[in-house]
Amino acid sequence: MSYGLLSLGVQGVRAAQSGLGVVGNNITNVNTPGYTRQVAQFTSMEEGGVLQDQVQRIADQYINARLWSDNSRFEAAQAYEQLSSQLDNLMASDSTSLAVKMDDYFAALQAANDDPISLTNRELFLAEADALVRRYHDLHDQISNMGETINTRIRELTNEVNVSAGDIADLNERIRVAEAAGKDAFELKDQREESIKELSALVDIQVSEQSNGELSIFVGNGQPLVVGQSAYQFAAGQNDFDPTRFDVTVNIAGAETNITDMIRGGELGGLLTYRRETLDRSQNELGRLAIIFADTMNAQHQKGIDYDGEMGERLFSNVNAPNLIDGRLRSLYGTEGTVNITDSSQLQASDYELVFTGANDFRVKRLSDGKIWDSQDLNKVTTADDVANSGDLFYDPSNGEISLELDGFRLDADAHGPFVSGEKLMISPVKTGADDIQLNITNGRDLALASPVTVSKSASGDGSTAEAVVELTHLYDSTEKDPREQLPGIPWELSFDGTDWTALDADGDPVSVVQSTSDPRVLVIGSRADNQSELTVTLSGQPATDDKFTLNYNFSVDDADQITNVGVSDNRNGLLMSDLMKEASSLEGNYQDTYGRLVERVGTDTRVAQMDRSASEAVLNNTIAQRESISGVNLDEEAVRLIQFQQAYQASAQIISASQKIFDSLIQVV
Amino acid sequence: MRLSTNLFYAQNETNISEANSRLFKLQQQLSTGEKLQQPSDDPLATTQIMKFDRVIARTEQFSENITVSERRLSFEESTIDSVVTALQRVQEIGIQGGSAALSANDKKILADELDEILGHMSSLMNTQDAQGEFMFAGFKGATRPYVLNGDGTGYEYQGDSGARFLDIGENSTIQSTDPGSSFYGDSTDNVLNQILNLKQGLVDDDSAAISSAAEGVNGWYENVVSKQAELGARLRVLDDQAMTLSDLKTFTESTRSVFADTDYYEAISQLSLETTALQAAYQSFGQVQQMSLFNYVG
Repeated sequence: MSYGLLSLGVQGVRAAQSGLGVVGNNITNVNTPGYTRQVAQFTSMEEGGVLQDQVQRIADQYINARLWSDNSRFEAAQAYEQLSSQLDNLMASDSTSLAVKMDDYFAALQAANDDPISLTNRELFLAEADALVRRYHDLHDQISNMGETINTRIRELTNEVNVSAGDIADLNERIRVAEAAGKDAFELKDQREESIKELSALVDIQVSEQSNGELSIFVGNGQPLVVGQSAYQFAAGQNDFDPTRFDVTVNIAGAETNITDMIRGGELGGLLTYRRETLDRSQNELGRLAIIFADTMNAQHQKGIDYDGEMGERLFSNVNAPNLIDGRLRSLYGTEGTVNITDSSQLQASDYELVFTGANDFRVKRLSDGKIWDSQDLNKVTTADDVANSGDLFYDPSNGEISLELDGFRLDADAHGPFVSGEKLMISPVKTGADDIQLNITNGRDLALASPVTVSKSASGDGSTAEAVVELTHLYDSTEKDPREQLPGIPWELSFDGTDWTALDADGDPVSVVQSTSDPRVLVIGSRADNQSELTVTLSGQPATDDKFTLNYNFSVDDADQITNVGVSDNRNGLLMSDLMKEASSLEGNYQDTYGRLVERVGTDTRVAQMDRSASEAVLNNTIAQRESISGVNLDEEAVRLIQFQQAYQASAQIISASQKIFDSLIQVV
Repeated sequence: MRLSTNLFYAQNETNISEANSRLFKLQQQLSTGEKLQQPSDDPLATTQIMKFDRVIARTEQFSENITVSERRLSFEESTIDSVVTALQRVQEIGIQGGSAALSANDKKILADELDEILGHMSSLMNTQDAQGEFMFAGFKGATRPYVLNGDGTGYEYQGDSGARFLDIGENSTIQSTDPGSSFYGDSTDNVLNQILNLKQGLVDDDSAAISSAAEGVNGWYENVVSKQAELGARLRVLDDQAMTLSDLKTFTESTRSVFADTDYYEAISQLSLETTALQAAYQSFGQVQQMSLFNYVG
């Protein structure tokens, strides 16, 4: 066997040159993102010599797929953490926190109670109450603004998704054309992988390779985003129930599919999850606290009398004001109605979705924890007026009327005709609570720190040490401003005959007295069943037969029937308002406990988000390292190849030179 | 493992930036003195700290209430001291006036002195504080409590029996006002009218009336003195409670500090550890990055 020395030399030089080209290309692309290193392939030929006919692209599709999904997970965790961290700061910083303002509010109330006759102290308390209201508003606004920021970002991100998807579809086409022409299209493939990586940072995707080498991309529950050379459009669209809130839709064959709840990964997934799990919840928690606070403070304030002897107004705005009860209900197909707060202590920080599942059935879902009530589970009553307890339902599907009570709220809705199957009602009892709260009283004189009644011992039986305190515990009509109308027939005289207590009004007619079965020292006087207000007298010491207590107004009435000599030094109602601070007014406890739970929950969410972020970052870095170890350029390695090919080149040149010398020698011999 | 050049640089960058952010956090802890910069640093500790903050705020408020009560009760005490002094003189007059040796004219002089004392006492019993609140009117602080009737024959109590309480602890209150009725009597059955009776007895030179009125005054004197003792006891309770609150506040603040404040020893040693680590990272990066085969070829 013999070889053509010259042609071998030439082939060697060419092969080494190509090899140097590949090495050069690797070195120059050392900093190019997404670049996949290439390796020159050499083949020895049958007739001798070498052929450099192929360049291999060192890529692993399995690693790439993992890189994309890890990237989605990391970007989602990072987006969630950034937003959550903002909220976390907001809730606890002294300049924005509710806790400190509530302390100030109760301190000012104490100061007013210390000196109830001081109008200055009363005005200072109202100023603190106003500051607290503004703090509620500020926090609500900050949370709303985060919602706005998320809206803006959703719009930007859907645009970015569309750009990336368009690029990928375009690259699919170019790669197909290049490969059809027998070209390698390595750089195009690098670009396509890089575009997919960018897309995976925006949204979680599934990538599948078609037989023709095209990559198709799906999102959510398999909705197509890129199929071959065509890309579908993402859009930010208004939520069905809330026009201020953007959802994500994808347009497939002219139909918009809402995929908001299916996106989990990428920055978009992080934002949407954060909005659903943390932001909505926090807004509801804050709103619920504002409603509980206003409702309980109002109820107590209305049981007192002000500087001029009138029953207290609501201290804060009515939690069931007409515009509010309308705004708490939204419907898909135009059902109208109201949502009233019936028992603020039972409220949950959640929205509720009511879906009509058939002609005669519906179910209610509490969105915070997914609890479901089926219409069959509720206690059916015959008229709307009979709905009085949690779990009661009045339902007339043929006329489209529904009334029900759950979790401290009452829904009354009317579709003006049969309910359509698929009709959805969104019930948000507490969502805007922190925005809705307002101070209702602006004049310190109107602050009802005094109790409308006093009790004094008018006769003492033999050896009696009994003392009594009195509290107005039930108002028969909270709109009535004259305490004499609330408590007619006073003075009432309470007498003890050794076993029972009885009461007579000013005309000598009996008044209902009910002794508490759990504590015999507690007497309820008057009866709400008889449309009367109720007073609760609590006794201490040892009563004796013939003890008498007189219950009187905490003011005098002059000849012109006007209230005068008001008990302006009395702070008993103010103390009861102050005691609300300690009372378990929500499912979590007192006001501060309730707020504390919110801060703790946001803190925990943020903490978990930080851990998720750092865990997903570690996983992503590991995958990047794996990909780099396969596909990345190592300059030392390239240096070795460079020398290797240089030397091969020089050696091949020597072959040519040797062939020349042989030829020369031959010529000389000849 | 095969290492790409890119990854080498990226990894070094990450390491250094992470070490920097740990240093920053420590530096923040040291400069603010607060261990937790935001609730997520330790959500459970944050909840505890918030609870301690509430306890401290309320303790401060209770202390403020004690100060207010002490001021008011001390004012009340000094007013009552003057009333007691005046009543002692009335008692003396009662004893002197009962003496048969005294002439009608002498009794008239004593009656005139009683007029002066009556004016002084009624103004004490109608004392107003800085806010203009009548101290002894019960809940009717805007109403003058002891008012002489139209024909000048008697005083009538216009206040009520209400007494104001203030919170001075989580579950304790203190009576911070006293209605005049409990010291000096209510409606027309009061010490001033008894003194009027004594005066009338002296004017009429009616020894039976004088001795009965003097006895009545003695009764009121005893009542005022016993209530005065009660008042003193209440002031002592306030002192005790102020001490308790101050202890509670100190204790709560020190417990809060365990959760919230930077442990300087720990933070400083951590800081030097992290600084050393960062320096090592800089140094090793500086050395390793010079290593390249390209420095040796060509």
